[in-house]
Amino acid sequence: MVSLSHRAGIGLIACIMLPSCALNTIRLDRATAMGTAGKAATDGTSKVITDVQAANRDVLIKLKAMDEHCDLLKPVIPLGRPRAGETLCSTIAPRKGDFSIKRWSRVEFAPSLAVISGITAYLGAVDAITTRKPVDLAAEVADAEAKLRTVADSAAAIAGAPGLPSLTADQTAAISGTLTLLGGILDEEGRVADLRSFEKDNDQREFSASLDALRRVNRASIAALDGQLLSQRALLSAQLGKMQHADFEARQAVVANLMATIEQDEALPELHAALDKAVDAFASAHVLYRTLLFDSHAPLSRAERQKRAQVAQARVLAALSNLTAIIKAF
Amino acid sequence: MADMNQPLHSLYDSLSALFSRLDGDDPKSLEVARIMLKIGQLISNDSQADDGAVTRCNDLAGEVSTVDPQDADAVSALLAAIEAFLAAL
Repeated sequence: MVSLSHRAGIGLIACIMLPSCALNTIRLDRATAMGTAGKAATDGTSKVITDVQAANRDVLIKLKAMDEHCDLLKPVIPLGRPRAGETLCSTIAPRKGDFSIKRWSRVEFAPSLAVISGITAYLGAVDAITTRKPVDLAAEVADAEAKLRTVADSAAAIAGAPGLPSLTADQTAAISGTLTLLGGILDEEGRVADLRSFEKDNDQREFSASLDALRRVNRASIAALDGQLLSQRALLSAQLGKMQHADFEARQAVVANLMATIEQDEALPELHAALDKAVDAFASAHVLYRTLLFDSHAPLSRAERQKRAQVAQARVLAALSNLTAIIKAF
Repeated sequence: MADMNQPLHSLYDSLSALFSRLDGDDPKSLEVARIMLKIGQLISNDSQADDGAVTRCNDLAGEVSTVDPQDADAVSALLAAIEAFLAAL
């Protein structure tokens, strides 16, 4: 055990002399930041898709409520000058230009959801490596020591010689502290190595294509939501036009609904900009994460440089403290 | 191909203003409502069109803004022109 703890101490000193050791903390930070940015981007897109479905559902329900001739799932709206007795959906005879209000079911969004799923799977893989449970080296060594002691005691009993000398409480604590520190550093190194290995297999053109696809999904979803809100406005306006003789409260409720729809539609350019910004932030975080993963000389931000210095300093202090404890204990 | 959604928005807004000036029982209000729904559908599909269509759409929006709602023939002719334009998109 003594020689192991010495090796651990030497390993620690060697590691803390290398700036790349503290850099691994920054690498894992960047991986986490990339995951956060990616989740924000995909969550934003998922939310808009949900909103499109809700708005579309509302349009279909309003149509059916306004005119019983409208089919709930596939209403056909005739165009052209209305003939006597025609309603919103009913027609004497089909005409060129008649159209159907499209229903946006889950199936319609399958390609968009596939884009989100692909990105989410990638983020999940990175997160699994970044946040996996660290190996408890101290516990493993303690377990190994216990097994070794059992074997040694048995061998000693057979040979009639004394077994392994017991470690004092101070010695155990000194070794345990060192192993915990070394375990943390080795674990970081292992996770970074796994991230490198994982990213080497990833085609960056495919990743870029996924982000482009996410932007296209956002644009199409915003357009779809816009269209549904305009349809809602048209229906509410038409409803209001038929309510001249309705009481004040009933008219007020429709007008309030109309105003809310107009305001929601007016906010769409801002929402689209926010979604694009989220994708841009994801792309930037991914570039920062990958660059540092493969290039130890990649530039760091001021905050990252400060953190790297703090991590290195904390490790030096911890290592010296543990080494002092080991020297005292043995 | 140009983004058609913005010009369609202009057309929608001008029709919306015309709609509010028509009598609720006027058959033309039903026709306008149907056209507005059609525009909603086109925008939902993230429409693209050539530059000529963009110009034509903006011209139609301008014409709707200036048409006299009481001039039944002028309104009908304009709505028919809009329907033909939307059908061709």
